[in-house]
Amino acid sequence: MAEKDFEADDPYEFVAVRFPMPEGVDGDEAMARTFIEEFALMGMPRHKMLSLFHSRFFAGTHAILETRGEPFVVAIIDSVYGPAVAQEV
Amino acid sequence: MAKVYNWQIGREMDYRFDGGKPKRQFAAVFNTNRCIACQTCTMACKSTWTFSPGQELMWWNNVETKPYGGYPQHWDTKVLQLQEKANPGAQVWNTATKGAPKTPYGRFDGKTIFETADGVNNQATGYIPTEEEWKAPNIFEDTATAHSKTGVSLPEHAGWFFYLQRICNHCSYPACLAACPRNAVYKREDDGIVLIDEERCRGYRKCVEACPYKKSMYRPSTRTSEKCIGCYPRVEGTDPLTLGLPMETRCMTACIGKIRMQGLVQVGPDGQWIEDKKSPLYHMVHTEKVALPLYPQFGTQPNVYYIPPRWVPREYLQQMFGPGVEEAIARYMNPSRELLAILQLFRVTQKIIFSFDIKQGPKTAELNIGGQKREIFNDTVVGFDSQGKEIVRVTVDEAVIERPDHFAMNTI
Repeated sequence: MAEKDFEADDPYEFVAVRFPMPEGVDGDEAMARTFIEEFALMGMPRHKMLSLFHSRFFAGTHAILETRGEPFVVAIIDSVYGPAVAQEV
Repeated sequence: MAKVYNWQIGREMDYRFDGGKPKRQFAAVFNTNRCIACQTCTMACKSTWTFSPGQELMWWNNVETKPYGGYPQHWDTKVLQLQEKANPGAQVWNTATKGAPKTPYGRFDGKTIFETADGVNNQATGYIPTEEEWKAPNIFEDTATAHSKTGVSLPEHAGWFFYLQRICNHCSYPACLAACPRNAVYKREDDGIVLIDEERCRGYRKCVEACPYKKSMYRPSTRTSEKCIGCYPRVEGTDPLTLGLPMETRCMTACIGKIRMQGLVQVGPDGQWIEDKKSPLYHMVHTEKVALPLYPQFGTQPNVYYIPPRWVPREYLQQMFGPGVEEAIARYMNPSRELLAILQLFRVTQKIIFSFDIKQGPKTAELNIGGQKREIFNDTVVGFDSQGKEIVRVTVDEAVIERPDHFAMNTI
C-alpha cells in the first residue's frame, strides 16, 4: 500500500484542517514548549528532556526535532530550566 | 417554561422544568493538554456497554480531533449554525460583569438552545444526524496535509490539533430530558446521572435531536434510544473491587494519559455546587476556574469540564469554552501549588476522590514557566474517599521510568 502513488480521486483523501495560527505565532514553538513545561512541572529532570525529542517512539516531540533541529529544542529547554549549570536545586 | 438559573451563562433562562436538583452531581474534569487520543477510554466504554447488536455505531465515549473531527461529524458546528440562524448576529457574551459571584464568566446575551425553540413542537433547537455522520468516528482526522502537487506520502503533523474527549455531560438542564414527549428521560436524585427509562422509551428520537452534544443515540434493534449511563453501578459502589465505595467510570479509570478526574459534588437547594474547598473538582472548577464547560452557550449547564489546550488559538477556544479561556490557560500554565498537586491525583486510584489535603515538601527546582520564574516544591497530596479515609498519596515529582528502545516496539 505505502508504495502506491497518490490518486486524486481516492475517497480517503486527506481533508482535515489545521489550526490557522495567528500571525507571528510559531505553532511548533508553542507545542514544544507545552511538552517541555508539562514534563518539567511533573519533575522530569533536565538531562532527560532532550531524550524525549530524540526518541523516535515519541512521535510528537520527535517530529519537532526532525523539523526544527536540536538547537531549536535545546533553546526552549534552556529557557524553561535556566542555564544548564544552575537548574536543579 | 420555568425560569432557572444557569451559572455558566450568568443568568436565568427558560427550561421546560423547574430544574432537577439532585443531592450530589456526577462531574468530571478532563485535561485536554495531556490527551494523546489513544482511545483507551473509548474502548473501555465500548467493551463494557455498547458491544451488542444494534449498538455498532454507538460510542458513548469518543475522542475527536479538533478543529476538524466530530462524532457525529460536524455536530458542534451544525448546532452553532442552527443557533446563529435562529438569532443572527446576537449570539454574544457580555463580559462587563465577568468575575462577579453570579456571573463568573460574564453573561451570555444570546439565546440558549431552549430559547430558540418554540417550546411546543420542540423543547430545544437541534437536529438528527444522518447515519453517515454517526458511522465513521475519527475518519479523516489527524491528517493535516491537503492535496499537494508533489503528491502526499503519509499523514504528517505539519500543524497541531487538540483532542476533545466526550461523554454525556449529565447536564443540570438536560436537553434530552426536556425534549422527551414520554418523560422517559430522568435525572437521578442521588448523583445527577441522566438516564433513559428503556421501558418507557418508544424511540421517537426527540432526545437524539435535542441533545446539542449528540450523546443520545438511537438503537434500531430495540427501537429505543440509549445514552451514557455514567457507569452508575460503579458510581453507586456496587462493583466488588471497591467494597461499597463510589468508583470512577470505565472511561475515567482506563485513561493512560491520566487526563481525567471524576467526582460527586454536593449540590445545594438552589441546584448549584455547594462550596467545598477540599473537593478537587470544586477547586478546579470554582476556586481556580481552570476547568471550563463545553459550549456553555448551549444552556444545558454541562457537568464535564475541560482544562483548555494551551497551544491553540484563543478565538477558537473562546467559542468552545466561553470567555474564561485566557484566565484558565494562564492559571494552568503557571499552576498554584494546590493545582499542581491536584493534577497528580488524576488517575491514581479507581475510587472516587472526595477531598484532598496537601503536605508541603522541599523545593526541588526553579523553572521558567510561561515566561515567569517559578519554584517547584515536591509536595505530597493525599486523596480521601467518601468516608474521609485516605485512599491515595502521591508526590508532585513523578518517577521517570524509561523503557529501553529495544523493548519499545511490538513487545506488549
